[in-house]
Amino acid sequence: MNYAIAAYVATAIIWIIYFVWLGRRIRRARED
Amino acid sequence: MSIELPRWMGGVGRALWAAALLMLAISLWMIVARAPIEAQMGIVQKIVYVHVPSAIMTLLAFGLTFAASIAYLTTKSWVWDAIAASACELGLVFATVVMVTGPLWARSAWNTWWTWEPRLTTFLILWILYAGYHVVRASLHASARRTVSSILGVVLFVNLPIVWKSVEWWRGSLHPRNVTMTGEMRETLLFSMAAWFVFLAAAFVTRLRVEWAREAARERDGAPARQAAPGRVSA
Repeated sequence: MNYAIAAYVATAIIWIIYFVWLGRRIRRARED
Repeated sequence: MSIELPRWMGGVGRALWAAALLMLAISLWMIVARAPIEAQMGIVQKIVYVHVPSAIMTLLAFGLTFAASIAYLTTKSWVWDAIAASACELGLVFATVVMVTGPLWARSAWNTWWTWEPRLTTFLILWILYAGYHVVRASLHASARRTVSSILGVVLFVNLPIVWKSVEWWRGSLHPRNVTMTGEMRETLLFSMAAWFVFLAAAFVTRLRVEWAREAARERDGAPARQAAPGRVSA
């Protein structure tokens, strides 16, 4: 796979993982 | 100070997200369709359009952590601690993007994934130290957490000028000293930076909501030093 495509896909994956985690924390904090 | 979520935060957050997503979409279009393919490196050079803005956003976010940490130590207002922690977390995510995209670029440019040259080494140290900030923060009770985190936020800032100047201070640096571009390449890079800046602002407002919700919960429970439940990450 081209490294440029890999870099952009990796960037998207990192941010998606972060925001899924952040969303779960926001929900949990509201429930508390 | 009231711990109700400010009304403006919802509206500003939505507006920032709309602007950020639109700008990132335009930026991606510019990277794919507008910026020319570099003669020597080919398409791999386009990694620069995400790598450099992410590095700049890392420094901005950690810079905000530094300023907010000083403000917390001065005023002892929890809002500054919330700002410092939120900025630091986003800075670490941007730094992770830098750490992942850098080796992909290096594999083509230097024929190696990693080399212990000054910029890469100092940035890795920066990443480890700011990751440590969150580890320390999560391991402390609320009463000590804010003060210790703020002291760390100030002390760790020393690393930023070292990373910035590493390519000048040490010999044998392979990393480009600065990015010199012209025409459509320059426009694409500048627009990407603007897009990631708005993205940082949007994510920052969203991240602040966690701190606001936690502070509201602490206020309701009347237990400011409440310990995180087992298995939960406490920021």
